[in-house]
Amino acid sequence: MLEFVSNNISTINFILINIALGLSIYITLATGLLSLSNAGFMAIGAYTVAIISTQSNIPFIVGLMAAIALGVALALPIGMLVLGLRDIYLAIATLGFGEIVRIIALNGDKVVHLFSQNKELIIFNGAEGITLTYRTPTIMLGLPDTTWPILIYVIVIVYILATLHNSRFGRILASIRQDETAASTLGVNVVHYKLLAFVLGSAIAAGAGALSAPIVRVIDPHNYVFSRGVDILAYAVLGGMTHWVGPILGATVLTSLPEALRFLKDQRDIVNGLIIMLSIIYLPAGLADPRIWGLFKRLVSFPKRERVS
Amino acid sequence: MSELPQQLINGLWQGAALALFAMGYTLVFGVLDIINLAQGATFMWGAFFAFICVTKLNWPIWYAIPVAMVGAGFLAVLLDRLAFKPLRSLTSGGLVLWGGFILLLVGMVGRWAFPVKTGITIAGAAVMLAGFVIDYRSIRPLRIREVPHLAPIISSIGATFILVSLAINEFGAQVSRFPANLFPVKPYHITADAVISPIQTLVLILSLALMLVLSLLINRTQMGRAIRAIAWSERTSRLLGINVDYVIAQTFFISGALAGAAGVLLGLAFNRLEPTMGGEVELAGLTVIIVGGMGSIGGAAMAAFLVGMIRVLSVAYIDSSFRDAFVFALLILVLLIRPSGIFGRSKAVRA
Repeated sequence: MLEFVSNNISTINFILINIALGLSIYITLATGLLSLSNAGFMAIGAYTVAIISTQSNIPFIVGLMAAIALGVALALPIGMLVLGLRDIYLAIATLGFGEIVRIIALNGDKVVHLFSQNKELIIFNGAEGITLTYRTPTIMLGLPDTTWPILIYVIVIVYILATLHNSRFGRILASIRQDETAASTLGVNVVHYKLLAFVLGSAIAAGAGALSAPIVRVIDPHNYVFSRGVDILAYAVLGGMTHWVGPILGATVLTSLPEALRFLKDQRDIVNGLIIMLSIIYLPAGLADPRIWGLFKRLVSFPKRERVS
Repeated sequence: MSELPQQLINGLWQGAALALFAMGYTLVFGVLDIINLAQGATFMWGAFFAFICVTKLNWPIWYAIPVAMVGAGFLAVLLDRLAFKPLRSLTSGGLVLWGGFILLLVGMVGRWAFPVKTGITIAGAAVMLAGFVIDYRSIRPLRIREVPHLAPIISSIGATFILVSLAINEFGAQVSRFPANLFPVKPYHITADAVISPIQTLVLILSLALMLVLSLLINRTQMGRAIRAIAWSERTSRLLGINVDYVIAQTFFISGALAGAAGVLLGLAFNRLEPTMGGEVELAGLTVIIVGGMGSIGGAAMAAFLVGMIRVLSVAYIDSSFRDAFVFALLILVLLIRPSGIFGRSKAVRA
């Protein structure tokens, strides 16, 4: 077991990060919002940590907090602006936000030079991105100390989302997804809850981006393009958009699948595309579909033997 | 500012090609209320269809352009059957079509020796054809579905991934170029220092001509009347005896053909073909159809010229790396201030 973990530690890291990202888009999808800005917020988180750790000696945990805080601070005004838009319009506006983040990261130094006296200052480093220095992780309790924060982060998010799922808040989000008009006639402040869901999702994505920075080590704008957003979407779509177990299943399957099927490595995008299309068409409720689990249970559990007395 | 006339000319022909792309986009939205995000991939394949005709088959470019349009048109129809139709209604033919499609993909990307690879590919294509026919002939679908509003977007994103990866498989991720001597290079002088090259002239004229054809098609023919009727109400059209399924296929064909034409023309004008070329025009196209008002064909044409100008002028006078930022700023601005688009009208008169 331990050997398996240490041999596949990078895959496990990425599975955990992708679970966090999948959960970040799940919370908006569960509200019926198709927001494609998660890759953008992930970039914000990763760049925050990368800039803080290259420009100063502030510890990582503070950088993580700063990344999440920045995510929230940006998500609030953006959410207020765009959440009035309906489905397709919202998807396009958030797509535009993601692209603007990428363009700013690409040209960040030009903007910095406009305001700074020091024309030699390089912070964003354009298309080459920021490279973090490599530090050999120390092993603590069987896991490297780069993995622990991600694991704890994922557990915390899952705990929060699981608590929310069965709460009033979770039911309100589901009611907005099913019928916004009906929800608002029942006295739900739709705008307020949409904004909460959007900010929560963005903060989770920013945190996941921040945690991914020490692992990917090279933070360049190309990491956070549209296709990254689609990867994130695929986790939630495959897993299912109505229960928080969905994105966990989806991210685990989609991240470990290319490792398991190494011969598919070149064709990853085709397989990804097929999985997205087939699951949205033939498996609209995803892997976490209650009906599938019911079927599974029936297949696995043997019929109880009648007790003869 | 002496280069301004030159920049305006560049904005004009690029806007014209963009208009072709966006008109197909908005046509599908007007009829089906879905955004076909795979339009960018159709655009890219249109360019590569012409590329195959010119480089592999040695056809003159005058044959390659219509062939590319027809090819892209059929690709769009196929996409509808694979990505959107199953969301509207599940049919047994649709299942067969999907089976054939997966077989075709396995054949196309598999690394087998010659007869096996070709055999699987052809078998896949044959199964797809059978599925297509069964699907079309089927009278009663297995299940009619209520389309969830996010599903078509997600499904077309998946289709884009497949189409782009297939192009990378076939042509490589690097830039492909048409042979150099397809067109004369001597530019026409419009004013003393504003020039337009023959290929740019072709782009402009052909785009304007296709726009005219499209507007005649939509406004003057029986087919256009059927398309407008379905955009108004699918249910009523069905009751009036319009073959809705067939008209939807026609709509996708037109939309794909326009995207293909835009692909060939822009591919020729920049002489730069790459599998990811659809993504960039996709985002510009989205801006165009939103600025123009979703579903409004005339609005899309006008907005395309506006966006084309903004792109060209921001490259010329500000900084090339901020080009898309300006386009997106326009997009978000319009979404916030007037989501129905600058040139948009009410739902009743669109498409």
